[in-house]
Amino acid sequence: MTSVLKQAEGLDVNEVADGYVVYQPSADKVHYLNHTAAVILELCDGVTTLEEIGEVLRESYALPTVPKEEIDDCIAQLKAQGLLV
Amino acid sequence: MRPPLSFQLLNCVFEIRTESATIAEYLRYMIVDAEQAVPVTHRTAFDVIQSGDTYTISENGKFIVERYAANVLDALYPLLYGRVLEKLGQPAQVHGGCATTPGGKRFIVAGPGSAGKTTLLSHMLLQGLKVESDDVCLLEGTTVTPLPRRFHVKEPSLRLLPEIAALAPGLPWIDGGRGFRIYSYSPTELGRRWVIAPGPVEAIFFLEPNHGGQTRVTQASRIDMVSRLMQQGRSRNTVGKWIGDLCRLVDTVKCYVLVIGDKESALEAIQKALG
Repeated sequence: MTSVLKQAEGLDVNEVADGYVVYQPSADKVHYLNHTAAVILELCDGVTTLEEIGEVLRESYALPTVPKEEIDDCIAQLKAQGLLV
Repeated sequence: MRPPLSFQLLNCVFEIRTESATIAEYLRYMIVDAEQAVPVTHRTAFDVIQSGDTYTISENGKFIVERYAANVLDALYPLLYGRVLEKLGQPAQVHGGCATTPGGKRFIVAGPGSAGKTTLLSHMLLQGLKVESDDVCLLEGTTVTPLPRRFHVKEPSLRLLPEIAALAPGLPWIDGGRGFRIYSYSPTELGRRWVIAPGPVEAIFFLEPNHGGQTRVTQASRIDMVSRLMQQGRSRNTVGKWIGDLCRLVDTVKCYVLVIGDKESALEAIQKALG
C-alpha cells in the first residue's frame, strides 16, 4: 500500500465547521464531504502514502487499528467522483 | 402630466415615468418605501409609453422591450432588480427573509416556495419584530443585506393573517396564475417602520412545511445548511464564488431546520432557539 493520490486539478474547496463543500468546475458539481472524507482529501497531496494516511486517521480518531475498510471505501468514492486522481 | 414614481432599491434610485393610469396602478405592486441605509450610487429613469395596444419600456431613453399592459411588471421586475444586482457586483443570494427580535437578534428565515416564509415573517411583523424582507438576502462576506421588495402574500394565506386581510381590498395585486391573487404590501401600510440595513445575522432557520402538524426546531449541520440553501437558487456570479460566500456565512451562524406547523408556535420556537 505505497501508492499516492492527489486532489484533482481546479477543485474549489470550502471549509465549514463539520466538513468541506467542494465545487468541481469541470463537472459543475458540488460535493459535501464529512470530516473523515475531508481529512482524506486533504492528506492526498501526491506525497503522503495511503499507509501513512491510514496511520494519521488512526491517531487522529484514537482508534486501536487503522480503519482500512472505511478508508478504502472513502477513497474509492472520492476517486469515482473525480476528486482524487 | 402624471408625476414620476421614484423609489430606492439599495444603491439605485429608479424613476418610472408613465402617463398611463393603468400602468401606474400596476406599478403600485412594486413601489418600495423602505428606509435604506445604503448609499445611492446609480440613478436610472424608465419610461413606459403607450403605443397602440402595447407599451414600450425605455431605460434612460434607450428602447428595451414592448409589452401588453398586464405584462409590464413582468418586464420591469427583472430589469430593476437586475440593475441593482449588477451594480452591486452580482452578490450571492439566499432565498429567505430577514428579521430581528426585540432583543436585537437578527436572523434569516429561508426555505422553498410555499414553505410559509411570508406568512411567518408577516406574523413576526405583526407581533412587533423588525422584519426587513420576506424574499431574498444578499451576501457580502458575512454581511447580510435584505433585498427591498414589497411583501408578497398569496390570497389563500390571508386567512392566517387577518390584519393583512383587512387591508387587502386596497392593496395592489397580481394574478397568481393558479386561481388566486398575490397581494403586495409594505410594512408601513401596517403602521410599522420598514428599515433595511446591511449587518450580520446570528442564525439561519430553514423552513420545512408541516402545515397543521407539530412545529419543531432542530440544529442543522453546516454542510446540510449549505446544501439546503444551494437548492434554493444561485447567484449569477460564478458558482465557486457563490458556494464560498454561502460557506462563509453558514460557518459563522447557528443553523436550524424549523419544521413549521403553525406560525405562532414557529415564532415561539425561533425565540427559544435564539435564547
